[in-house]
Amino acid sequence: MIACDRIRPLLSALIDGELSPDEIREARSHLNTCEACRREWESLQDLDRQLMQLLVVRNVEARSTEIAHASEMQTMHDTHSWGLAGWVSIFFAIAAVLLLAIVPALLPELDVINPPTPAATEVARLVRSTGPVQVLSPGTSDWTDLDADSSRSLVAGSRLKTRDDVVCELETSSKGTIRLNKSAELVFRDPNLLELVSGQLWCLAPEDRGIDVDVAIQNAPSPQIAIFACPSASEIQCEAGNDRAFCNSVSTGSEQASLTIGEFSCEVAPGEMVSIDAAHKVDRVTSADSSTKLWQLPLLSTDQGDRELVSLLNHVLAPIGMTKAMHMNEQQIRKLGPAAAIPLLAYVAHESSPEHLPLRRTAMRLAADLADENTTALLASLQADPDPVITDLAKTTLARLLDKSD
Amino acid sequence: MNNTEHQHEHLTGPLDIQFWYRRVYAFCQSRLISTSDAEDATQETFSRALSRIHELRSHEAMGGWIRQIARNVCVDMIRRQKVRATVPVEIDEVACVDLEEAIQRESREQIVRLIHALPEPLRETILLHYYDDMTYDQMASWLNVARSTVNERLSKARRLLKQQLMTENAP
Repeated sequence: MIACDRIRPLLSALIDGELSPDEIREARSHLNTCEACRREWESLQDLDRQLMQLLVVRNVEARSTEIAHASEMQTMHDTHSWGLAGWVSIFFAIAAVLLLAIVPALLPELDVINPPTPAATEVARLVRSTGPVQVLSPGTSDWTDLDADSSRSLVAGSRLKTRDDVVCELETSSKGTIRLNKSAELVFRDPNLLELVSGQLWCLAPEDRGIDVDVAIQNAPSPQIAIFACPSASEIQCEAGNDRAFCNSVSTGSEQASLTIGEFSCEVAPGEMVSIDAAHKVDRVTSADSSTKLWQLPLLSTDQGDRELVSLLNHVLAPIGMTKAMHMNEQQIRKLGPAAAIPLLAYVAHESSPEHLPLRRTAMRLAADLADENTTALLASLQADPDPVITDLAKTTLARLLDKSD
Repeated sequence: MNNTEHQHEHLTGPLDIQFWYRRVYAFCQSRLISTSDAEDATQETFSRALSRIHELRSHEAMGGWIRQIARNVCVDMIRRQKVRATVPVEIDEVACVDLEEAIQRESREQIVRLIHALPEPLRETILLHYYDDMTYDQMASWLNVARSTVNERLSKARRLLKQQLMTENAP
């Protein structure tokens, strides 16, 4: 049986003549002795014959000639039907080319199609993370830690994994933003095609193109992949859940996203959460709710006065204490533990408008409970805050942390 | 396609459409499903490539460059028409000329349907393998994946197709 387990995966490559001589010998001699594997081998050959007959592209030569001819005609048309207007446009074309050569930096996004460089094209770069992120580069078999000291560049085919306490943010080479939640795994096929193997990610597509996220449906009887297409300049949040793939078009400001699985396809409206299972059963919930993005909070604090941080917390903190249902937001923040303290304090320090004072106090109260020794510098600066409630909380929290460290 | 054509892969020169046609077609069909959409997209890919060939800096980069153009073309088509929303079963073959062909037609349609139900990476790899007679290494370079990935995808696609055929055709 052990021999069968070894030989079975080789059969497909044996058909294609892609095994080494040693492997061929081994497979052949096993097939001579094992009836079950021989039947498997024969049925594979049978399928191969059917596929060979069926999957044929015809008239390639004629079609290629036709395309080349059409393109030639276009060029001839462009070069021969000049007249004055033609010469004038040539003049302007030359002027434009000269202008382009002089000020290329002013027109960086002129061309949509950037020819990728041949070797090891960079598809993304690690921007920030709350700890080391593991990477498996194509052609290697060892996971390595990607941290502040190592190269943060990822090439096509790279596999990325976050531990259960790390979230990270990446920028794709086409200027999209990807954030990966803890305990997640992701493969970069190219800058605009990602494969979410497990866990949760959020992506913001660049201005000029969309991002496709392939999400595997786990525990399906046969492997199925749901493809979520995030339109340009829009955001979606995807999750590979148990038995289902989820897509949350988080913001009502986004364009309509779409879901494709096999032959089935449907829309994901802005602000809607859509999930699908292996039987293509679709479930929709309307939830334009920023709290689903709270897991990103620890990432947002690293830059001083992060605008995104301020607006997220303004949305999320507002309902806290108002209704019982909104207790959830508070619970979610508390679940993040000490990792949430720095972003909360950064918010308290940077949100300055007076009408947000109650929210700053809420943030401060939460931060006071969650703070650990990494926050002492921020707490120290908040002792000078104009609001007495905040200064009191900063002082008592500092005292608590200093007591602990003694 | 014969193997000598592959040897021209890294020769410099203008765009050899015939050389790239099958793999671009496999790429487009795996995304657009419909045969006629795939043909249109393939044609559009080469038209765009020919008009921008001067932008290509190195001949080695041509594969990735063409693939990127094809991707943009397919995305455009999907956006414009939502082509993937409706999926007729289509077979890329000549009209049935004899009785045997007619009898086999049904089972062929079934296989085509099953291929289209495969996850996209498996679908493209299996179409590419049969459309264009490339080695695993050549496919890996075009698909921008490891050689072992090509092997895994083909093996998995065949296994899935076989399983599905057996399940569906069980008495």
